[in-house]
Amino acid sequence: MLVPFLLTAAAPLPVQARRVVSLMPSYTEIIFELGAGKDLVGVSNFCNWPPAAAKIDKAGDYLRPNIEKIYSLKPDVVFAGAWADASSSKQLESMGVKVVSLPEEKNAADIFATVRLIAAELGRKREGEKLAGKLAGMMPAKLPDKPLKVYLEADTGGWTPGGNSFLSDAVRLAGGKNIFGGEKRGYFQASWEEVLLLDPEAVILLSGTEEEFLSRPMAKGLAAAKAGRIITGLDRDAFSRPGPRLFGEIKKLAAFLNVKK
Amino acid sequence: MSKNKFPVFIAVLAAACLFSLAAGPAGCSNLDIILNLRLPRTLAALAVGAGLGLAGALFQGVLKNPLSDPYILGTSSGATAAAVFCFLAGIERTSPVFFLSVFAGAFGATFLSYWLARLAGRLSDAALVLAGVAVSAFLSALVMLVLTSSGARSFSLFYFVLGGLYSVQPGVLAVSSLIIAAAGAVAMGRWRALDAMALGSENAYHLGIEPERERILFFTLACAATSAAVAIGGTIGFVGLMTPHIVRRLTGPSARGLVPAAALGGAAMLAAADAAGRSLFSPAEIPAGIVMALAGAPFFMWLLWKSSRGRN
Repeated sequence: MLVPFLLTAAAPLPVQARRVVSLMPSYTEIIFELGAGKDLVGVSNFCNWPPAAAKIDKAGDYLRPNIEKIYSLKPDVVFAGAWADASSSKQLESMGVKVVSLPEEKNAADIFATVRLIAAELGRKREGEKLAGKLAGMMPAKLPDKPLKVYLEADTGGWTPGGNSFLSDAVRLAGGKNIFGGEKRGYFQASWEEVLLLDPEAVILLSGTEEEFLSRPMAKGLAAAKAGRIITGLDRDAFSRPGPRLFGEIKKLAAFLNVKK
Repeated sequence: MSKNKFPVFIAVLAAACLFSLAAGPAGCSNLDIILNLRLPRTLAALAVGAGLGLAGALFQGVLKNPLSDPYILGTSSGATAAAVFCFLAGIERTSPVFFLSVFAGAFGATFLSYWLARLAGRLSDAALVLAGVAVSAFLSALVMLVLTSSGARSFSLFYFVLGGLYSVQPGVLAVSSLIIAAAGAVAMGRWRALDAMALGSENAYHLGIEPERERILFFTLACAATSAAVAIGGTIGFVGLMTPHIVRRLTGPSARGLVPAAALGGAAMLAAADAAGRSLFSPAEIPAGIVMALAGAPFFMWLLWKSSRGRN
């Protein structure tokens, strides 16, 4: 069982005619940006961008990869998140499939690292550098001295990112400050009372409506509501994936936050 | 309820309400937060807890089964499944169609469990619990299937299925409270029938009670209370199971005291559980459904152990 694994792990990938499986929407978007979209033979069930990705064979998702499907696609390399089921990647490796587990991105710098890792794996180092540079160039050059306090609700019902997340970093790069940035946990349900106490100056809703938000107890008294800074105009998929489109959304968010009232 | 026990329940309820009103990161000095945020939430917890406690007492009385409650019998799962389908169909949470569907889901699931358990002949505790578990598991799987394949809105629906009081709509709370109060009033008015049924169908019949008719009536009341509770807070388990057992030690077995005490006890229990859930791990909050399951599942095991010892 070990011999084929060692052989595949040691063999350099051929530059041409590569067969690639991506188990994360953000990896798929990065691979397309690197110009390697045509090498993708399998993507995750959630991969819907760019539109061409939706037409590629689905191979399960990062939590539950469809091992048989992936094997049948005969990939040269599978990109999986580090938090993907370790037994699945072992299983794939024992079947002779190369799995690259990329670490979870906790900030913008990690996203650039992922871009470079994928690019190197695909023999497109130069394209990787170019893409990372382009994305870094899209970030607002100067951060405000007094960033606005931002409450980011990713899912209705108080689900919000803590400080240890790329979402929190995205808010910072857009000129805001996540009110739960001091929390070590990644994603949690914040108590509404705590949100009221922290009194955010801007609210970002990635799901749900402004109307529902303002109907919550005392929501209309929040500084964000008074200033009219309830932001619902971000693209949910683009903002919540650590991929290339996040940087366009950061720019958009920076514009929302900078509106003087 | 004997007169000397009544103050005990009122005191416990008052203590739970005080805890619920006082607990939270803003402390006890912010009157705005207490009145506008914690008070509505406390009222919601009281209504849901009362509805579930009431339903538990009625189910346990009618079925003469100490292990029954709306969660175990599949009543809650039926109501939750119906509610989720309503959300996906875009039916407003305050519309009569929503309440009727949720009630129909609760009633259908309960009757299915009951019918399955009766197939084996004599209605046994084990058969009823097994049938309830089967019906609940199937409905939960159905809900999960629908949620995993329905896309964007599903996360907040998952949260509803978990059971909690994060967002309570005043309209839903008002209608549900009325339903629960009405079900409670009718049930309390018929405590004699419930007591007679505890003596067995035949004895009840000799006391001038029609067991089949009464069973359907009490099922209807319990399902109405459960579905109203689910409409507010989703699937919250174990309130209906635990409270009748706890309050029975004070009230004795007669439904006259037990039914109102179970409603008061359930209200107090859920108010306390919700307050604990939103203050212990601040700024994160733990849904009341999870707090109740943490406390209730061991209680259920203890009941099973006790009832198995009683039989041998």
